[in-house]
Amino acid sequence: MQSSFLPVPALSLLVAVGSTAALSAESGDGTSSGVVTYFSENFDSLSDKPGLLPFPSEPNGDGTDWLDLPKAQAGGALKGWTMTRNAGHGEGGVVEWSGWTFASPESWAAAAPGQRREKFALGKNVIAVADSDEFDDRPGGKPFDATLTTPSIDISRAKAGSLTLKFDSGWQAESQTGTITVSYDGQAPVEVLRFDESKETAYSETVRVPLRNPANAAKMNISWRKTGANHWWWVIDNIEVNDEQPATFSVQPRVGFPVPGSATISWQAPVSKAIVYYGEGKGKTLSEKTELESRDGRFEAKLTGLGTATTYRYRIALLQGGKRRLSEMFEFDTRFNLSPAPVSAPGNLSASMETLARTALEVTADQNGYLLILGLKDGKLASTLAARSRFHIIAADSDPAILGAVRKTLYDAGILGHRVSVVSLGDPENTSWTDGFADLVLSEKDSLPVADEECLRLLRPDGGALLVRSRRSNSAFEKARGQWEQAGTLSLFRREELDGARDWTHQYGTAGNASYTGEALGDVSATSGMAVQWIGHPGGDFGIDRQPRMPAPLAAKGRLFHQGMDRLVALNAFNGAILWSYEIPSLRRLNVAHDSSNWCVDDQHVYLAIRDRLWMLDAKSGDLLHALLLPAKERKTHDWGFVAQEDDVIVGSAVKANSAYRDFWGDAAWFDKVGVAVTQVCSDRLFGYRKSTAKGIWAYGRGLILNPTLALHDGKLYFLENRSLKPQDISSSRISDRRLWLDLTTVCLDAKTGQVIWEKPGPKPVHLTEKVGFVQAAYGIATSHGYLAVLSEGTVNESGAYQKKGNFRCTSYGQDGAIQWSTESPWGSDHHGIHITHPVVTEDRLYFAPQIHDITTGKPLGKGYGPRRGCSTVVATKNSLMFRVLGEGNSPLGLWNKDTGSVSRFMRIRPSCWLNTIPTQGMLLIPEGGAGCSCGGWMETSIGLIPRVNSSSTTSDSP
Amino acid sequence: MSPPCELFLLLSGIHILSQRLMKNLFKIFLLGIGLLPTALLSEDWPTYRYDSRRSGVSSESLALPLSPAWRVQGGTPRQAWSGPAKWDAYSGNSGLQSMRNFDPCYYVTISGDLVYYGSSHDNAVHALDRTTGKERWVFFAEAPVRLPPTIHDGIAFAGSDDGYLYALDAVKGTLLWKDRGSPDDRRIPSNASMISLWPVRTAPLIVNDHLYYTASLTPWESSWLISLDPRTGERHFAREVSNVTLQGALLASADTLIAPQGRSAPLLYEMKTGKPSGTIGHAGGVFCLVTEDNQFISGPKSQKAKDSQLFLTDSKGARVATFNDTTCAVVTDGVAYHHTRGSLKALALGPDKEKSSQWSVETPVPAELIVSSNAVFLGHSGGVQAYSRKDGTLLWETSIPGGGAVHGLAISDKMLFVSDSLGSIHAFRP
Repeated sequence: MQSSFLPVPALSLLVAVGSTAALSAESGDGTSSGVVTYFSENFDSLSDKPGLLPFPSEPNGDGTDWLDLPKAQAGGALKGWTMTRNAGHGEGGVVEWSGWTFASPESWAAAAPGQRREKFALGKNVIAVADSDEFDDRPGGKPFDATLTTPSIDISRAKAGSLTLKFDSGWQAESQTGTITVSYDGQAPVEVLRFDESKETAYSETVRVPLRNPANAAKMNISWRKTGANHWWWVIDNIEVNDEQPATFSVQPRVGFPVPGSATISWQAPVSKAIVYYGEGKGKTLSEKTELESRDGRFEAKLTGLGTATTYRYRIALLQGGKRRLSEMFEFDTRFNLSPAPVSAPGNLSASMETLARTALEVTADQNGYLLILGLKDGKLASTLAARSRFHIIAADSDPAILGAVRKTLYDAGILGHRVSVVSLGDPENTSWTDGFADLVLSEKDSLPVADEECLRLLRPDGGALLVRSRRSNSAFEKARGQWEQAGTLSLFRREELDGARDWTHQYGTAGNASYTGEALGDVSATSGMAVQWIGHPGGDFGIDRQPRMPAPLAAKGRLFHQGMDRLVALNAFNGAILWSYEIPSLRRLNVAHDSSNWCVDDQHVYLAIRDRLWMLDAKSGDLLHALLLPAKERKTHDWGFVAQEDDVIVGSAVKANSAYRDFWGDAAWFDKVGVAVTQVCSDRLFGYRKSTAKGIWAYGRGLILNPTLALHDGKLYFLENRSLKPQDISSSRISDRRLWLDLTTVCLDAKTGQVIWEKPGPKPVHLTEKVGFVQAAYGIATSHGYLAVLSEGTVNESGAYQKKGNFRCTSYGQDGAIQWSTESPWGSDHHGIHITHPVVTEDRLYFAPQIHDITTGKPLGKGYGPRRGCSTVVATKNSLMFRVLGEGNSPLGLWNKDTGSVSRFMRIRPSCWLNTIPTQGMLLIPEGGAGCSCGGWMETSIGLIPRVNSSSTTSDSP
Repeated sequence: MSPPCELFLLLSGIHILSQRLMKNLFKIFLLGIGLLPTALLSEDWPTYRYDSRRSGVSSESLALPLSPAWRVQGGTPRQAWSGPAKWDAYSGNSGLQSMRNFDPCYYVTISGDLVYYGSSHDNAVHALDRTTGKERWVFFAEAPVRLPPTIHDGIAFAGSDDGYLYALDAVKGTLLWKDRGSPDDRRIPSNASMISLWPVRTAPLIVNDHLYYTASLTPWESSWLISLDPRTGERHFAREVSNVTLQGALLASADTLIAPQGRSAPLLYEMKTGKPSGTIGHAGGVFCLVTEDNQFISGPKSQKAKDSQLFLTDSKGARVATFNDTTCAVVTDGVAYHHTRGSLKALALGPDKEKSSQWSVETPVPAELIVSSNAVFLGHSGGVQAYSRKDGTLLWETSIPGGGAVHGLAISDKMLFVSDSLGSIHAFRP
């Protein structure tokens, strides 16, 4: 296997050859399309034959207004089309709008002036209208539920998967649903598009839907169905089915924000020319374009002059062989451009200050954060550091005259405040700053005006540094955890990580999924032991919502990584500074309870599964270093599924394309309903890469591998596999077939070679047969105790009726594959995620929900933990469990003391419904995950909490 | 589409002052108890939204049309909080509203020939020449200043995220005294600033010659409600309160302080003692005002409502009415001016619980509404419009250079001051 490693892009190769305003993505650019059209309809013939009729009841028509389908077909038009009022459709209402009808855009808009119907600018002459809002203006006018279907379309000459449906659409969002289904050769319809509440209003847009038409299909019918009531409409026009191929990328697009007001769109594709069309807002013409050339297929479009807090849409056209292939519509939002504004420093530095400034930026662990200058002369060091970096500079002194002068200078230079804070030092023995926030401490003066012990207190753990002229030796440094380093002519004392701090590198902390890393969290076991270390971005607008079981945040080497709505961000774990961020349209993966997460990290890298590639990002900068490929056999048909790393090995898996969950709207996307449509995402193949070379080293595939059961620990890769269902016989990797559970094998591979170390018969459900029963979830956990295979099974009777209860069934395999013990634990309940709770394994305990077992024997200990609200995943530290505590304050996040069983709460912190609260780096990191919930007065912000034992906080309020 | 319900009268209790005479009598009464700004008679705009009721009502008549006089760019505001969640996807609610949007622009206050604002961009309090816009003085705090200073007896009072309330000579900008809200001083990182764990994020309020402010951030640390003598800084009381997040402009009814909290219900405190006296349980957000007859208008309890809502609450805390699809409103002379479903409406609030529409005119969605004696001024995403209070006639409109959304409006001495989301302050004069 070969990796796709390519050198880091040389940006000079990417040439933007112009930017021209006022060109629409739909207007063409002079290239030949070469497209075969199989069907088109714009309804315009109705204006001539049979001709539009006056509105029967609407008052504002002009006499050439409207037709329904029977009248159109009576006049010889729209042959073969059907319009169905589905069961439940209102029997009364306004006759003109009962179901899909046809009207001139002007008459339709005139029916209800002032409601923005006239904004469907792409609709011309005659359009098809489904207007539940107008339909409801008379009794019996709701609900609206109607379907418009094309005649049979001959596609016998079309290649499989080659067709695209294109049409112009006007959609006013709010409490309505629209779907498009396609029936091939009379078979059951397949849904190809769904508009619901997640679809924002788009008054006028061109929609393209890839149809994935099967091989040998001869005919198809396309149906538009609209449901709703007194809100609002869906109108369509200019329907076309063609073989226009969408642009495909070897590396999917991503958007970065280098400075305010700009964005870079980067991608890779095997072409030499491309165009980016972009524009502001939804449903509008893309008014700008940038043309690019590339010699190596790497493209980077630099967009400038962008508005603040604005959603931009963009499409990428790849030019190849005289054809233009357009991508789907993507978007990015500049409200997440949190990059600091560039500034210029007034004046020049002295030679010694120049050395200090240069060294300071060379020795910092990251590219953003907080630099603390203790002792000022003229403030030039502060302004220079701000001008040369993305850091926020805190410049402090005790002399009011110096402070005043520096403030005035920096204010006049436009630097003060947003880039440099100039503050009074206060008590040099006891400054007011929280512990451990500064990435670097230095001075503009010859000596630090603050005691060494106090300086060391302010350094961020795991990389924070004190930069001085020469090494010192005293009790403060002897007591501090850290090391001296030489930094050119200067000396550096770099602080080590906090005692007992651990990384959280995978979904459940470890590659083995233990939900416990050994993090001590300062031995805290009650919320009163924690203090706020930082607060701020990202906020509630960053994410999707709390319920769709998103990938967990991760943290390593003092960095926190967090995913939102098709975007991710890297933060400084100790001060919350934004290190870098991307908007990635293909990022989203949901329902990880029944799949695997899409990412993991180590000290140097972020490993991110994006479609068919694994992106290796530089953890420090976010730069794309490699984009690893799937094995050759799956390269064109599969996506990258599971990912984990350990030592020099990356383990990946291949799942059939588009099997990952992405829908998030409604309670169905809670993935919580007991026994209903429970599916598992399974991989068809596993494979290994070597980190250091980005080269593939092995591949394995004998059946369907259950993604949530994949666990990596100490060089061994464990999982459950079904070998009786053949991957090649299954079209999707979302498996709901009960037979999946009836023939499981537990497998242990050597993660470095892919060789089977052992395999044993897997766990078996108790109630499930081919016809009845269900397994609600399955997990695998690998630790030094071996491998735990956990099935969460609902209890059904012989006839298959669910008995309102279920059990977690756990089988423990030793290092040699021998079964050590089996046990089961009843569900605490069957809702709010308690029945799919991911277990926790610590040194001596196995925590189900809500029972506790001995990890070495499997024996229940006769007690449980709680009270737990459910929803959020339970995680552990040395002294506590962390979950949503039932009761007071709408059940906020809390801690459960392992020794005493007492609970304490972080009032008004609402965790997500899966996992957004991670104990790591010696802190409790809570990137925002619950703001969408309307059930309480949540803080809707990201927070870093630190044990008070590691904080100077003297306050004692219990959170 | 069926006409939307614009105003639901849910409970009893709307007391109407619809006559000019009644208004004037009431003003005399309010002046007597200290709720009107000290500088009312001098046509100042001395505090956030004009007065301690945050009414947004000026007694001035502004000659229209207006022309640009000057513009100051204060740097992009760095807001305290991010925007709200995009939606509650589980419940199917989209278009959620922000509950903590109290610092979207640089609101101004005006006294004499100076225009004041606080800046989250450069951590300073600024005073500009009212006529030219030139900076007359600047005072540097150590963290963002999120709301404009309140001007009283020649002193400008401003709070900062550094945890201090500053009393500045209003003419010179020199520091007279400062007061830290919390006994403890702990600074933490927050969005590229070092802020106090007890920032001052409520516009200083002066009633009956007492100054009130708060220091508050998270519910896990005690917050502080402070009352002091505005001349000396000597404290009347410092009340420690728990489990609160006080933010947005403090305001007052006749005898009660009202403290918004964002996503939690506004809190009530006795003015004399600071003793907690309840909450307005159905309300929330940071847009709050007290009407002439001590009724309280504020945002909804949660961001859940699909339509933005404002609630009218009587002096006992009971909900009286609901304004749908509205994020801001002005009530004066017994008339409520608010925007719903695409139109600005003037509703006369009747004593018999009825309401009657005086006029309705299609307008952009406002981010701010204030009134002069002759016009309703509406700030929106692209500019400002002025409508006749009498009949809704459009009297004047202008777009704002740069495209920022207009969140702040103020009137003083025949001039209009406009604050936008990009950090600009625009002055207009006839």
